[in-house]
Amino acid sequence: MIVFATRLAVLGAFAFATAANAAPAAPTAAKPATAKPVAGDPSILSSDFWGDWNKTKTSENFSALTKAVGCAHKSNTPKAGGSQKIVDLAINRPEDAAKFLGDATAASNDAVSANALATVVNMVTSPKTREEAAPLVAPEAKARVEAMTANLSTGIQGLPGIYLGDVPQPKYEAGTQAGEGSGGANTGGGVEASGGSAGAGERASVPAGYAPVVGGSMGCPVR
Amino acid sequence: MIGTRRTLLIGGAASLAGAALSPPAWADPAAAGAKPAAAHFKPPLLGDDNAPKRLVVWGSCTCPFTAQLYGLLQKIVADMPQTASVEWRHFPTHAPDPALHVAALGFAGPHFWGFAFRVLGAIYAANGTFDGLTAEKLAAFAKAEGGSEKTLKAAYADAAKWTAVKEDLLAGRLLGVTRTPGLFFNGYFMTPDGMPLDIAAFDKSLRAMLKAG
Repeated sequence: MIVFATRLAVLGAFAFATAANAAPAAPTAAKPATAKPVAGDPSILSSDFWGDWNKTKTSENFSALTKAVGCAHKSNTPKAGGSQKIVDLAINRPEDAAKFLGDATAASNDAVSANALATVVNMVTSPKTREEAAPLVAPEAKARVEAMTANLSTGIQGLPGIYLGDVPQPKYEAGTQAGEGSGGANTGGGVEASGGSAGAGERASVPAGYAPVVGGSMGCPVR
Repeated sequence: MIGTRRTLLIGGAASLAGAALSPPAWADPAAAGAKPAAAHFKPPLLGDDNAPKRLVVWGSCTCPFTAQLYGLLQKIVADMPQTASVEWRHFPTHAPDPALHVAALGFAGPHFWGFAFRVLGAIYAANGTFDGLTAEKLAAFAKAEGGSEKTLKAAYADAAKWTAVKEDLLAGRLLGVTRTPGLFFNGYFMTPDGMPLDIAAFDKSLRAMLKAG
């Protein structure tokens, strides 16, 4: 109980410090350490990682992976007006998924890239789409794709289906969700009209119920 | 497969609900039956394994915007425990980041989040400066989470943890993450330009999205 209480205090303090309602000043990007590095310093401990990563990101394999399954080009599209840009990465057409899976398995040449690709595949295709794509995969890639999708279905990496909404809503006892989401009405300034509507079988440009936020965004750039 | 075991890691909610805070399987690949050569950590999850709507965040331990997003998401998961969960993915951006992510992986279940939130909280409080994240400070964070300097050293010595961080970084880059935090939901990349500055509006919109069918 003491542990719980302590945890609540710590996490509560964190939430308080960063809560939406606290309206904190916009933070600035992280700044380099100026202190002289010492043993056990996380920057020193990380140096080998960065050395390895620098080799990876300039390697031919990285280029091949990016060409095969990279989604960055989708995110680079200009945004409309001043509203928050949202990018739909999902691959829904079985024909597209078949090509994507074939390219993904061909580009993977080690365990790290295989696991990274498994994440990407799980994030942009649903099990249902992969199943529909299976008969459409090029013959030369079939064995590789079958091996990969079988691996995905074991749940080694994440929970297949949940990323793309294939997991049905669990049934809870009546009333247990009564309070959930209260106060979340999407009203007031700062957002555009709620999007997410699409015709039957179509995928909306933004998630259902979501209204893109206006006023700009900030983040820490990739190293 | 999805078990019934809860990995709700929000202290207050968990203690009130009386949920068992058992260490999740990802913390110990050997115990989970994974082969060391193929060791791959199940990503840390904030919330209930069975929550049907999962937000996935590629974040950096030294990014104040990641801290800001987690401050918001932590409250959302607490308010909507049967609906939403948040999956952590590593996306180191600054010099000390990889070691900080690896250090956090040295802790299981709620202590992972406890350690990560302490680091993020320190970054936020220091307005994005990471000078203060010294070995001594990290050891203090470790102790507060029931660990010690030994816990950190064991994490640093575990190659699989470094690999897990690299795999996430690579996956994030392939997905198009160019700045943190990178928030994903249901195949949508919600923050390709980073964290919206209007946090209150972002909070409302996320809640509306999670409430929608």
